[in-house]
Amino acid sequence: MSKKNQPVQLPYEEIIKEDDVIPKEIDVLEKILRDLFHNCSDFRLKRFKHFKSNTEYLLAWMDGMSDKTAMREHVVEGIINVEKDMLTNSNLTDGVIPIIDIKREKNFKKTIDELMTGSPILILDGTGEAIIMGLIAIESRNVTESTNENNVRGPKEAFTETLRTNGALIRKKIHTPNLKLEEKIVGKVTKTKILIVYIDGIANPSIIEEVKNRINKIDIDSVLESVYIEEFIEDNKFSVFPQIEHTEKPDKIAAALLEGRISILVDGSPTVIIVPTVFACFLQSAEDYYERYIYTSFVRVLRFTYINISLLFPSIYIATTTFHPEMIPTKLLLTIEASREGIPFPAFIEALIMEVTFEVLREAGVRLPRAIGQTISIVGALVIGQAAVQAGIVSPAMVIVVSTTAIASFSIPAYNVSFALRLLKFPIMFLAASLGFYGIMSALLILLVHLCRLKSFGVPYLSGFAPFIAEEIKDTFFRGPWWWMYNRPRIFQPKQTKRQSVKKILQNAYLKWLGEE
Amino acid sequence: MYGIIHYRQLIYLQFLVILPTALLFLPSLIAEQAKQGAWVSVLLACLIGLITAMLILWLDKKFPNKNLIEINEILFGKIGRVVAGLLITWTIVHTNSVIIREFSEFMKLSILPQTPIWMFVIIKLIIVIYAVHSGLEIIGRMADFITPIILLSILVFLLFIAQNADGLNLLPLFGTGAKGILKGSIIPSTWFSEIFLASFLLPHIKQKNKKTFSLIFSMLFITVVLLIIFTIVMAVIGVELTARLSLPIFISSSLGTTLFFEHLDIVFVSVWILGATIKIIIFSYLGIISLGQTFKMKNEKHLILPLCLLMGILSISLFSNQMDILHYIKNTFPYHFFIVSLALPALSLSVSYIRRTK
Repeated sequence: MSKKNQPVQLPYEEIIKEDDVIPKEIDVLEKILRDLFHNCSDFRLKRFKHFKSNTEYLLAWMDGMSDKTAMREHVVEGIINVEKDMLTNSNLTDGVIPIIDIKREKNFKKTIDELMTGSPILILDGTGEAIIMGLIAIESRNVTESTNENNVRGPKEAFTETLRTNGALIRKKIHTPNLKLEEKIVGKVTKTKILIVYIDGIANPSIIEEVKNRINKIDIDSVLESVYIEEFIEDNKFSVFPQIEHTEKPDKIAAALLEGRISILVDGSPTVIIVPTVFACFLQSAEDYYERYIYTSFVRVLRFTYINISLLFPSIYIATTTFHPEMIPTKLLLTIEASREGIPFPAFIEALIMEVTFEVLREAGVRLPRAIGQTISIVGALVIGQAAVQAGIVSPAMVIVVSTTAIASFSIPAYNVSFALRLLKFPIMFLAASLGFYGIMSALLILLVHLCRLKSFGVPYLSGFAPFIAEEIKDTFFRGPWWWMYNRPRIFQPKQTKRQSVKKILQNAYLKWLGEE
Repeated sequence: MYGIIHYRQLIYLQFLVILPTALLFLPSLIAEQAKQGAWVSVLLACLIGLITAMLILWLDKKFPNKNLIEINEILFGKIGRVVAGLLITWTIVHTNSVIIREFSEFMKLSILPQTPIWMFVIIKLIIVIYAVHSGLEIIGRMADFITPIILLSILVFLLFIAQNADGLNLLPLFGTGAKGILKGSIIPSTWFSEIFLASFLLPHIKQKNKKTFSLIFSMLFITVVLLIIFTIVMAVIGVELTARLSLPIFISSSLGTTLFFEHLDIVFVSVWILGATIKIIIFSYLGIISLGQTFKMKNEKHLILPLCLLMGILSISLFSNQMDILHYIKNTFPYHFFIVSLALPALSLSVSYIRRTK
């Protein structure tokens, strides 16, 4: 193996090898541990003595991660009362220590790994075996209302930073042993736990296998957020379009699992990713399914308009005003031209100034603390909106165009798609300024080739539209009523497709109308 | 480069191969000869198209999952493969250069009069290279996405202009008589016989039992769409004008729009660009595939850049102006194209029967 391809190694891996066992002598062990945790101020090691049998034992834990009260009450006090001959590892784990989550471990490295996750370890002198107690008590955020994905109707709770809580939030919605939460550890230094969640029997086994393969190939020192995983496992790593959906709402994950998709939870991140993802997923919000279907279908149709507006509106404005003014009705054209009177820049430069300003404003508004954020909006609205127009730098028409585009881009449920569209807006604007509608169409065609090329875990990115699947219209262009959703979306190639038995609701309604029911 | 396509995508691909340029050039070319009898000419042309389709299907039945070049190898050996392959490649490449030039000329004429031709050619070739490199499956998906848009906008276009239609413009029903109709049907037959290209697509279709249906259906579908459009356009602007204008549909699209927006011709040109680009992509793809098959190349992707460059250069240097192209289309193109689209399949078929090859 060349030096470049060697896995990450830290001093700890050199001291304790993969197959090392725990030394029997407690003194040796203590020295090794003290060396290992040199300068770790949160590492605690205490030697106790069991006076009835004159045996020494060792308790090690990480301060702030372990439940000290429970350790005193159940472990130390429990051992004091043990009779002389009863102090063996098997007795301790079989009931002397009143803890449920308790196990024995001989491997040194695994023991240390468990210690690092917060489990206290107990080692009796001369046994060479550690008792690992799951008394983890790490401070973490409570389950709270989702802040980034709001809805009026429907569940509001959101994931937290704790992996187990997140898993439980999903399990809370799908009560079946078929819901699998497979654990993997990624990150050579951070040793982050991730969960691969799917419903056995619904999700496509080959896609599950593919997900596992791709995750196994990841070789990185740290995984701090689910986007690390996302960027490693996505199909096209150079595309501007997000190919993996993410959410912080357990109900959305549950719905995705029931469609036969697979989600990946990363410890320490409240954002959960879902694969495979197609473009249509980004146009569906969780609330679509909690509101009545007629209204939601209307919203879905609107969203397609938004997408086109947020991608193309400035470009169309530039193309029409510079190349094809005859398209605009005469009266409107006169108004636009009058408002552009005295503006020194061509429409493209004007649009560029305003769009860039808007992007900066948006970025500033997101990052700033709330108190200062208000200043930004005032500065943005007054100084840039009104003053720029009055000073004759930009035309009022352009302000309308830019703000409409901005609103449209915000109304797309998935903001990572609106990032992509907003980025693409600039090259399209440039093409529109140089080649008019021909430039716009060329850009769209290149975009179409790109989107048709994209795949997410074997599923074409534009599935539903291209390849067109007639059955899926009810969940792409519109949102069909629940009683119509007989099957899971075929897009995700689920193993088992049936959602409900066909009840012939329309036929029954017709019979009722005839009075023959 | 290959991949599997749905039979619906095959229909769409055929539709997009024939319709876009047919819409642009055929009305005036047919009306010039056949006058009001243009609809009979279209039907006759459809008959030629159906014959081509039958030849291809027949060959496909006799040599399952083989394309025209492979069939010629079976019949005539290596020399047959090379000769037929080069002939087909040259026809496709040359026709594609003409299409690219037609397209660019139309763009220049209709929306960007001051832009040089090579600008259009280069941008088109960039799209073509990207799409062809992606392979047949992606091209099929693009057709899947684009065709509904095109059909919808044709419908809107017809609704817009139909208000100015005058049924009397369509009389007398048979125009100047049989001679004109026959003369008028030669050029559209060329377009319809482009369906022989399906020989290269049929082996990649997913639903093997839908081959006949998809070819015949696409032929009839295109005919119906063309007939409706021609009839309405002729009823709107009259036969004389249709024959005299070089791009009657484009002109008529700017006529009858009385809604809020005026001159929606640019919107229709934009949609047309979509269709025409797919046509150019398919022709380029097939040109590259057939050259690769001719020399049994393992990776046809090597051919993408040189062949696209060749087509670009040809499209700029073959003709000097729009009239030149029209002259070529009227006088040379049909006979040039029929050699490959009709004569070659017919020859292969008859030889296979004479030799009783299986």
